[in-house]
Amino acid sequence: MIIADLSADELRRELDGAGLRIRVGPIVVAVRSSFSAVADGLALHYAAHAIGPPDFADFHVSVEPPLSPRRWFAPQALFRFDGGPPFTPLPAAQAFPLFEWGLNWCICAHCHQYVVVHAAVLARKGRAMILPAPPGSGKSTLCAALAARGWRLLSDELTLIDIETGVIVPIPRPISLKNASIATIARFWPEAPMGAIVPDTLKGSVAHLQPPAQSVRSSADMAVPAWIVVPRYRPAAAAELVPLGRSAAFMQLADNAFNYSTHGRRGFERLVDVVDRSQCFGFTYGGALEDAVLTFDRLADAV
Amino acid sequence: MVLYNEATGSTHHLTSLGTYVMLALLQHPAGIDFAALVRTIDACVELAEGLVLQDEVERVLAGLAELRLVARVAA
Amino acid sequence: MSVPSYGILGRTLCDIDRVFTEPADWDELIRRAREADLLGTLAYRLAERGRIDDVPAAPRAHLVSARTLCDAQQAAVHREVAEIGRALAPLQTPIVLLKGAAYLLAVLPAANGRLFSDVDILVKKDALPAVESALMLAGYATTHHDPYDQRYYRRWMHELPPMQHVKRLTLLDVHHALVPETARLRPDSQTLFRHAIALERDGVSILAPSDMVLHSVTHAFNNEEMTHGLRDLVDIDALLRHFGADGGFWDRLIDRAGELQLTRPLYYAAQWTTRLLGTPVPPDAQARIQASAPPAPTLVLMNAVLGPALRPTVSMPGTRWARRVLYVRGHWLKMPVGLLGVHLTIKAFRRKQRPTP
Repeated sequence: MIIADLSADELRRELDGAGLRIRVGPIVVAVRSSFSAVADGLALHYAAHAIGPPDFADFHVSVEPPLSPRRWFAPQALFRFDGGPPFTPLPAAQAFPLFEWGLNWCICAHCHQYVVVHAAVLARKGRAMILPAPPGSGKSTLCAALAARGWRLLSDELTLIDIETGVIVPIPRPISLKNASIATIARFWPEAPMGAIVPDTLKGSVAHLQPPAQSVRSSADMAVPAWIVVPRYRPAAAAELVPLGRSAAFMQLADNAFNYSTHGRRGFERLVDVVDRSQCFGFTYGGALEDAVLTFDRLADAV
Repeated sequence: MVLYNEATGSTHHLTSLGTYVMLALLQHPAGIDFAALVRTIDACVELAEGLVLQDEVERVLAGLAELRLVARVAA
Repeated sequence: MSVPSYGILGRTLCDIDRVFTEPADWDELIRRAREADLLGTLAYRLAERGRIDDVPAAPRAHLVSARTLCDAQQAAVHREVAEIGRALAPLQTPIVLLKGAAYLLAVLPAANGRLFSDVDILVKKDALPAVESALMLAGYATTHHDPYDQRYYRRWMHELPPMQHVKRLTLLDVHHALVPETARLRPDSQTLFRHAIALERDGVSILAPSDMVLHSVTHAFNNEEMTHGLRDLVDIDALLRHFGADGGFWDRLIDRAGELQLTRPLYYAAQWTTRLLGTPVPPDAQARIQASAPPAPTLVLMNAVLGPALRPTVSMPGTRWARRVLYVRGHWLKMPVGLLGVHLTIKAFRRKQRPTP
């Protein structure tokens, strides 16, 4: 059974009760929330995701108004994990993005069976391309464009590398877009269901794109590292792949890994292994997304 | 070259000169005389105009010592 | 009075195999353990028993993750102790490791699967200025810059304000006594140093076994905050089981408690560890400890309060109230009543900053 099989009433009942259980790649999250924005966001973005089992959830979370008098003047939303709030409350309008950010936090803080890298990752025929990049490098726009043109989405934010085996574990979730890229992707991929645009967050305006159903259905299929590509957006630049030294590629992964130091030497060895198995590139592009996609398609076909 | 330092738990990315110095030192785990080290590096690298190899190697060694990757020992 | 229920976490800590024989609620167990900072301990004990592979895959991932985190923290504590030893070596003054760092460096079972938040050391009071200087030279900066807090720690408590290393961001607490200067009961610190045991490396020492247990006991039962209540009991239980294997230990422990005027906290500790964790205490030791029980009315109140406060989760009924009463008691034991009003009032207006996502 998938989330889309639930009626609106059933969805509401779960969110009000013991928690709506959603299987997201390797994890099951049980979420409770009285916010309709959260219900709408989950119904849209997790429509293709399987309903999780009733007996075990990896993370029990909630997005609710905080228990303070302020709730009556400036409505707020608070993310809680197992009863404790890791962040301060945000304006209630940001309730759904708060759920996404909160879930990111849970995974980064509590999933040390993986090296968790802040990077997008997509796959062609079981071979994964990792796109590490700091905010503002255009990673999410590129990720959305590739997903639009048939690349399997494994994740737009959190690349999970199994510490023991080095396989990349899919965790397809809504693609988060910010500011200008919202309009860019709306033009590039008009058929993709996009959620409400939430203005005035700390990151600017934020909207989420529904992950392709096929990517969600394939989330039990692991991928192996094949390419590491570091994107850099330069206005009006032509799309160009430039070979990247292995040391530099390694540092990109290590610098962007949330739990690198937790893994110590094993983390070092695992990332060295990932780099050794991958072709590494820097990628400059100027916003012509069709050219960008073409470049990556050619890269994938060249093997 | 990237290195994991077991003693500090830190990871380092060495520059090209740093890499050569480190490789030379790794080939002589019991230690190497400074002059011999400079001669070894001289055979592998070509420095840009205006740089003195001895000074650059000294600088790299100081940096590596601060990172606890190398230590000076008495002859 | 009836033994309070600690649910599946308490039962599992008492008998690790139970979770495989009774209907398993792994969801509840993992959550309660994580909340109590005992997930690593649970993971370690299951591994020790050779039963990690019997755990279903989904909960097993959390145990593996917790174990990885504990291992990383252990490595970090080892490195930190080496740095501290290096920084303070020139002073030639005793440095005694306390709590988790001590258990780890002394290779005690109490260190297994433990989470470490900071390193605690004990130094002689007259060495404090030199120690603080040397630490600052080595990159440790003081925290709690508010002048009130600085005074609270230095003049009234038994430690420097917590220090943090500027690069490594590790936390260090420097104590000069085990109990604050202003406390009603004051064991003498000099005797702790006389009995301390030097470790082979890093130039540091640990407390003698009885003193280590008694420190752990006072930390659990005289402190203001009870958030780690159950975890502290787990530490005490582990220490008692390990040291108790030596025949003469219990008598030495009780004698020492008398010398240091810590018989009352030891009484509470023994009560609760035997009740919750099944700590084996020899009958004659039990009889001796029983002699330090508080008068009956105090006993009833403390039992009523200690029970709920030790539960790992704040959301269970009664726990918040119990923690508040103990918070006041903790302060009462530490500071003369006049000072108490002042400190509690100011603390109530201080709200900790939490990060934004």
